[in-house]
Amino acid sequence: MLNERGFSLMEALTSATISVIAVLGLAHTFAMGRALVDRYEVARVALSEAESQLESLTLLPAGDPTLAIGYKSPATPFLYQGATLGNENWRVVAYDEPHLPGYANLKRVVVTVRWKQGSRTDSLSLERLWLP
Amino acid sequence: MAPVTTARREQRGLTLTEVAVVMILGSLITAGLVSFYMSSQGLWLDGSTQAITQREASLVASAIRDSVRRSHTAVASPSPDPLHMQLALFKGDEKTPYYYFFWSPADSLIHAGSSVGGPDSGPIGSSRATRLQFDAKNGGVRTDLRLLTATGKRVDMGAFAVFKN
Repeated sequence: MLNERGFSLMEALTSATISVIAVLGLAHTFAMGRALVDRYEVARVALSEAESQLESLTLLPAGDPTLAIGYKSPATPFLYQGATLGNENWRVVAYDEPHLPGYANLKRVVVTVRWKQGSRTDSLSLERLWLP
Repeated sequence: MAPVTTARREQRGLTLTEVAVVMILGSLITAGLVSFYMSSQGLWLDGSTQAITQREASLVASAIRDSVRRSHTAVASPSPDPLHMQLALFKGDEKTPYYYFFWSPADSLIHAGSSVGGPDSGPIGSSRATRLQFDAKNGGVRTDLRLLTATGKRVDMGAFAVFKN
């Protein structure tokens, strides 16, 4: 007879609350996944921009002042789909490769792209070693 | 006599009001669950197709970048129109292009191959392109492309590559 008593109101309310919390948690994971897709869309574009910037720097002559150690380029806008999301620039620092003779025998060019998406600020850096 | 009374009370069934209330509550819960399932399904479809298109945009940009690096020069032409251009890549002093990237109006996809429209020039990717523009000068090629996801969202990608051959 005890098994046929059914559910009390409190039991039903408790189970309903737990179910709602579980469903809301599931919905939150979907929203988070969607936000991550959007976030990495811009990150992919930023990576491509950084690669393109490094690639275009290879066209400069070796003695160009913008490739001198210590140089930091002015920031240029980082655009995506017509909107300015942030900026990008590059800097040149000395790099010491222990297997090569001398000190600071290479230059390290670091391209950094920074952007803001909603309330989140992201950045990405890509670097390449240069012969002096 | 008491057990008989209890048994009768247990078998009295449900009133119309109770059934109606249960059905309304059940309908509301089912509608909520179906609505949640449909919206989450749509969100998942939108997100996954967008991620696929993003990967394809990176793949196409990477393929063009690699090919340009292997080339000596390139010629960009507005074929079939200025929004959908064609890139012909040349090696050394050769007069004939050895590789092409182009947009096909037949399927709106970006194709690549050793000829334009030939059997050896298939699509790279499955996302439709609404823009494929090249700027071949200053020692390299600048590429700007726009792909559409299956749900119609735009994904843009740009790349610059230098001739290294």
